[in-house]
Amino acid sequence: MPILSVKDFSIHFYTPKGVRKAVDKVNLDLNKKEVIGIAGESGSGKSTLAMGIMRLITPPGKIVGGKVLFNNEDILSYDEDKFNKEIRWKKISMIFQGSMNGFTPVFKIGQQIEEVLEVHEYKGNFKERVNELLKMVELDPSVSDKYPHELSGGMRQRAFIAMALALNPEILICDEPTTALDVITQAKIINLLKTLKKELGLSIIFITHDLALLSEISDRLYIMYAGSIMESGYSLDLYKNPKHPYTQLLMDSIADINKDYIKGIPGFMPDLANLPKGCRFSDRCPYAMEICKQKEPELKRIEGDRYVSCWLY
Amino acid sequence: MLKVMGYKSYLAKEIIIYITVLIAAMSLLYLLTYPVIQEVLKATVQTEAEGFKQAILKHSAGHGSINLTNINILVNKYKDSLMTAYGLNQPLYLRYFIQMKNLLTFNFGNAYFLEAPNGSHKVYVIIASYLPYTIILFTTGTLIVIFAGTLIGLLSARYAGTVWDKIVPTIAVIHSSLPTWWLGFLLIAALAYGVKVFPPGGITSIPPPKSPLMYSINMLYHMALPLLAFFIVNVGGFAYVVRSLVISTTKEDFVMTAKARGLSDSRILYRHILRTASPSISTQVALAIAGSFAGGLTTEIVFNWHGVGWLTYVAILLNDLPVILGINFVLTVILLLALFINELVKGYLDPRIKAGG
Amino acid sequence: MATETGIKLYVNTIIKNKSGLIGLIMIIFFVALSIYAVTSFGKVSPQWENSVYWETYPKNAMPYWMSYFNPSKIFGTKTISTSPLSIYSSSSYDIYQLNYNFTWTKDKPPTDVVFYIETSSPIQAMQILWIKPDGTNITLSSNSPTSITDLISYSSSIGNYISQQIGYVPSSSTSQTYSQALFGYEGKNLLNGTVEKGLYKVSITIVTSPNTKILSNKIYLEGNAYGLFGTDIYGRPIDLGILLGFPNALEIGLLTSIISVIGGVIVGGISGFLGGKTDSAMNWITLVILVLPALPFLVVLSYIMRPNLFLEALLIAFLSWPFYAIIARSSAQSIKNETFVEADKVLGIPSYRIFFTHFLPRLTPFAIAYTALGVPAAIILVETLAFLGLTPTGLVTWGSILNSAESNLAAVNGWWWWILFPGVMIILVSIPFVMIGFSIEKAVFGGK
Repeated sequence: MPILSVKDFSIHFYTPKGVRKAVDKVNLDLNKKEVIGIAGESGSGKSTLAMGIMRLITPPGKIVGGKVLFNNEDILSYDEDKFNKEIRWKKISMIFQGSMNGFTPVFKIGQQIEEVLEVHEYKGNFKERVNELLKMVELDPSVSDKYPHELSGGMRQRAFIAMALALNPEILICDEPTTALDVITQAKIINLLKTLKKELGLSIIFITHDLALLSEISDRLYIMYAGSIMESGYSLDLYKNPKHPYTQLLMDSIADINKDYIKGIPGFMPDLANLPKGCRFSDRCPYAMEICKQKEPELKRIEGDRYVSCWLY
Repeated sequence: MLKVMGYKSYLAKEIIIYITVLIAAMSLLYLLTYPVIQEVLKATVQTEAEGFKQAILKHSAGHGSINLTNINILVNKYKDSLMTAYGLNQPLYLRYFIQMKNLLTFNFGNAYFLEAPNGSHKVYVIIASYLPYTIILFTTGTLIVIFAGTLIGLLSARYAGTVWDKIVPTIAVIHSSLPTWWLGFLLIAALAYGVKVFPPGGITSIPPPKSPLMYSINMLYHMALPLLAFFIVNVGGFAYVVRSLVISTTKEDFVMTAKARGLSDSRILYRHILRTASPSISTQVALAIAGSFAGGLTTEIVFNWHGVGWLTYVAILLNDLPVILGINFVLTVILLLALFINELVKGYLDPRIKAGG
Repeated sequence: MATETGIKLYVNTIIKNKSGLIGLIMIIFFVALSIYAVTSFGKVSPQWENSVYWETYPKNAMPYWMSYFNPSKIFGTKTISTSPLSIYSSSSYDIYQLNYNFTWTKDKPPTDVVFYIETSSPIQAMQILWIKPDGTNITLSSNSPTSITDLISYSSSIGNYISQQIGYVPSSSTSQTYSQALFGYEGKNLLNGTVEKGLYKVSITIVTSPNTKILSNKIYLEGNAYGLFGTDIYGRPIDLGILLGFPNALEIGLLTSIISVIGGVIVGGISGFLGGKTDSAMNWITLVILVLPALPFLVVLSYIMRPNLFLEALLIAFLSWPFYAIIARSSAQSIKNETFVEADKVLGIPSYRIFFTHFLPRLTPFAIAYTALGVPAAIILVETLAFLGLTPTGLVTWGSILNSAESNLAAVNGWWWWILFPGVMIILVSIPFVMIGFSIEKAVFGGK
């Protein structure tokens, strides 16, 4: 049984230009001690999905349907108080693309980690726990006495990871945690996450547009386009043999040092408030057929654990 | 650049800038007003000398022989003494330098016409005897406005999209379109003369109560109407500023992550957002308090509240230049002082400033 | 920031926003009122301070619509006229008689009675016989007859009459008391407030030089209610004063706001755009003006300079531009850091061109929003100065109406209409500008 299961999850944004379906009936499963990756272009709804799981959607956005099952319990039905007390940060924590700006600028790092411990009624010595956590992310204990702006971006990201682990969560959602960092720091953070996963037995949802990075860290992959899952499967399978035309193009667009050019995907992502009839990728798809413009394909299992949403299969 | 200088030398530089600003502002005031006031004073000297001459002529009329030459010498001497007293016999640039030196050393000289309640003609005594009333009235008013404005601003930022959110822009419109003195005038007509609930003006009843407790109560009673007018006009403006600051802070990344950490909304608002926005709010507070002293002129006149605003108006009507210059100097110093204290408070509230970020 | 620019965008922004549209309609209405004021009443404006001009108007009258609530006690002015009878004519003088009849039904006497007889040459003598409904009468005569006389002109006749009736000289000698004497029952209770209702007959006899013609004649039974907003102590209609104040308020508000915003945007824009030493220097200058205690400083300058409308606008603008400079500067700084500006710099495009192509267009919405917001600020300042008695000479402003209300103790006497309506006008004229400013600000800066 998966530890986290997302069923028919939909998030809509009510803008003056219409209803933008940022997340449209998404299904995904996360097993215990597994890393799943969610990949897609920017604007595909992958960050919104993550925010939705954490119930961080603010107006004009709204969760309009579906279930999020944590250990088979629908955490969407919890009231805000219960969700805050039992789930957020305690069971599911998250690191963000902007985590280096995720600390409140006027409080010291230690104060902020202690605040988390205090709010969630952590039993034990706060100071010791902070030092333990900082050690875990390979930071000096003196960091707890520093203000966020006194640390480098990489150090802040580490400190934020430390804070994310403060309450021994079962699931860690990583939303482009390394995008704003330089390559060397990036590699270090990824290695740190790998180690932590092993040591702490974390289940991780890793969100990025960087497929190369995902191949390194994730067990299974979900490819997302315009608010919907296009394809999912084991990372290696998906890499070697992408089925969905979008996945294929996405794989092609990865910079490969053996090629001297980068191939992009022609065209633009459709307006989420005005999706094309039929398949949402149809207007950019090189294999588009008549049916693609008429009817939306469903996510079908085609072999083993491989699911594809395409009329080609 | 700040990083290299460090916080202390940054503050030192600020002090130097403020002093030069003070000198420049006073020069501007002096040079714009003095030439005209000089003409007024010359005319005054002329009439006084003429009056003096007539008085002597009248006085000596009964004594037979009139020595016109002697009288003219006497009158000229009197005239000279007046010219010296008003500083009219020196060239402008010299007067300017003396005046600036005197101002900067807080030596405001003697008033031409006004005097303090204790009979002193020293400008600083005059100002010192009126300033406390201005400070009492407007500091109280501003503090109430800040407290209520912050509360309303926070509520409207918290309940964005509800009725609260509509209230603030509406009362902000009032702030931008309602003159305090007119509201005061209306309140006096309605509540002081119409239904006779509050006194129409003044600082205390006449004669003032003897015991300090009764005196304070009496004064508070007299403060009620001006405070009400001040509050109605200003609370919306402050709430609007707080709301804007809070809303723009709410858009920063750390607010989202704080929510993800499972912190309650009120904890995020009151602890994280308010604390982060507090340096900017502190600037608003500093400007509001210092600005209210100068801006309260009409309020003081309408409510017959004898503070520096009222004093300024009387001094202007009398062309009492030393008092006008003295008051403007003191008000400018208060504003600069408020700005400087604000620098210090901001340095305390925002660790990024101290590090020179 | 908006991606579109141009007038169309602003008009659209304002019209789409409900409060912006209401604001725009109100401003158009105010402009129309201003034009109406200038074209129809432009000649009245110089007469505002001339109290003789307002002689025939009721004094301290409350708004006329108040009479609907209490018609027997609150009423407007009644005028009656008659055709003069020539009763004697000779080579040395003419005598005319004017007979008026009117019915009085109100519970209170008129506030004053004004006799108006316009003749082609001066009146030499004049006598009025006033007959009450019960037949009792009183004769009024004046030593120096003029074409306009009110009851005060006959104070000796009426004063004698009163002391005959009640046995002593009354303490107050206002037109109100005299009017009561003409309308009360004879005897001890003449002044106790009861009014004889019924048909009054007034007969005026005048003596003129020969061949004099009576051009027009009227008796004004002054009411205690007049016009939309009542009248002041001199009889000046408040509604007229408010109308005359419109053009000045709008003119000086717009003028001041435009000058100070343009000044502020130029200084702040250049300062934020160039940075470095220029920025520091301009900041310093901005701070110098900013720390001046604005209101006392303005009062000092207005008092000693006695500026006209244009100079006053300049003075206020001189003290206001730093506020706009500060905001313009920070906007300019953020524009400066955007990629396309940096790209232009790398491409070697001269900075003055960048200033005109990127900065000015993007500072325009800001400037328009703050011009709108600056108008009420300027209007309030001007009315404040006027309230302190510092009005540009020859102008009727709402502040000066309020100033005269204060010096004539309107609050003590309960003449609320004299205080209320001019102030409400200041607010009303400010609101649409604030609403438009807020709606542009909201559209351009995203509700910040």
